Amino acid sequence: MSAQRLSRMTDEELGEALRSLEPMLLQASPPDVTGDVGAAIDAGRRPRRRLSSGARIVILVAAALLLIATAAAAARLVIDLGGITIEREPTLTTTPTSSPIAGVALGRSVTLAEATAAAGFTPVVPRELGAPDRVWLTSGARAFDQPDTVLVAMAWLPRPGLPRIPGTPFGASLIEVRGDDDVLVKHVGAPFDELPRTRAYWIDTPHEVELLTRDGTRVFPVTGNVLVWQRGTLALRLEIRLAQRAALHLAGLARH
Amino acid sequence: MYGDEIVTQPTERASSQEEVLVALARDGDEHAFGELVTRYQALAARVARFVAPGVDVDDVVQEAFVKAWYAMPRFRPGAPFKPWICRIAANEAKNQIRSARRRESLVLRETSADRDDRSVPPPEGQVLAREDAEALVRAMNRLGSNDRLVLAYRWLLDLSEAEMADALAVPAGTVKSRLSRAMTKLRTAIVAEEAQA
Repeated sequence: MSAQRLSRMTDEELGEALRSLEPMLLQASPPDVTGDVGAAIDAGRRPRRRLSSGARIVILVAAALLLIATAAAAARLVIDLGGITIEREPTLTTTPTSSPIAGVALGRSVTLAEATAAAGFTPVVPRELGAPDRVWLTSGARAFDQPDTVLVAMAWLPRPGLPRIPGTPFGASLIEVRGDDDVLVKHVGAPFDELPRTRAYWIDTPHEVELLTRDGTRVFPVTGNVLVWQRGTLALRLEIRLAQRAALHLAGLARH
Repeated sequence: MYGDEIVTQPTERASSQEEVLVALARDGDEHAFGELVTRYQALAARVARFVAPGVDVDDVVQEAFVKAWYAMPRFRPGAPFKPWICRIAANEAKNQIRSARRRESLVLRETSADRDDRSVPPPEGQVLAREDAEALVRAMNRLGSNDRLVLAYRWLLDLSEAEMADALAVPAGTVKSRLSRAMTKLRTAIVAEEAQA
């Protein structure tokens, strides 16, 4: 009954319902931190340092023991690799705002040398793929208290052994992010694999990816198979039409 | 010289006062910054609770303001403080759930009336029936923190589109689409919750 009632509401009415919800939530009394903030500033204490990306790889499972937590909430999974986050959303419905990822939203088109110079890191280029046919460079939404998050995207045209990813002109794309802003968020409805001993994740079902850069926010459907992993301070995302074994090989994660 | 005095409305005066406080704080005036903390700590706490229920809100708010203090020299003169501190608080709350390695859920307060009969009409002054509130909370708990944040900015904190753009660090033109998307997800989650119940 509640779902029907809530579903019939207009956006305005649903918004009002949300407004009414807040006072009903379990929450502590309002904070009074003025004195503590003043003391911290007087003591010259710098804000806590954020953990490094490597230390911040986390798998978050919603607490099933909480009063309201449901089985669905417990199944919720958030994987944070720094600049790339994967969120499992069992109720996902794809409402992309753009056609499949094709470069435009990935920033300005540059050469690999230009990307290397501007990004401040050397992009990892899989040897088997060779020099990329396209390279783009962009950064996270403006940052005020931390260095900018930088995103380098590369793409390779299809060729024998590298089939075209449906809906795109490419056979492979590789996105590399350094920094902590959530620049690339993957919303995945179906279960996906965490690959043992690699801290890598394999997603072979259609899902969507949200890009949050200084150029704006756009959502794309993803039709290829995706491997997400971390290497040093970089978070990487490889999209191809090949199988997991080939992806691991390209990523240098295959066990010999 | 009353005739020459410029008449200002209370909100304009408040805005002007805030600009002065921000300008002083940018120049290192701790008392002015303390006044900004007093004004906005409750708001920052509400942001933190919606982004990351279960985090130590006092800690989030304190860290957010300490970070804001050190970032003040880079604060753009004339820019509104409210969306800026919202963004810092939201980022800090996200950091804390990452560090805590778990994400908790929004939880409704339990009342004796609720225990007796969950379908009774809401008490006076409370417009949402308990049953609806529970369904809404379960649906909200299915959303990602970014979607919850967008909904909170629009419906709870009453941020304008321009303020939401600043707080979310997105171009103004994308605020509507992000809000629309979050509302769609909320509706989908409501239906999915009902189907599972």
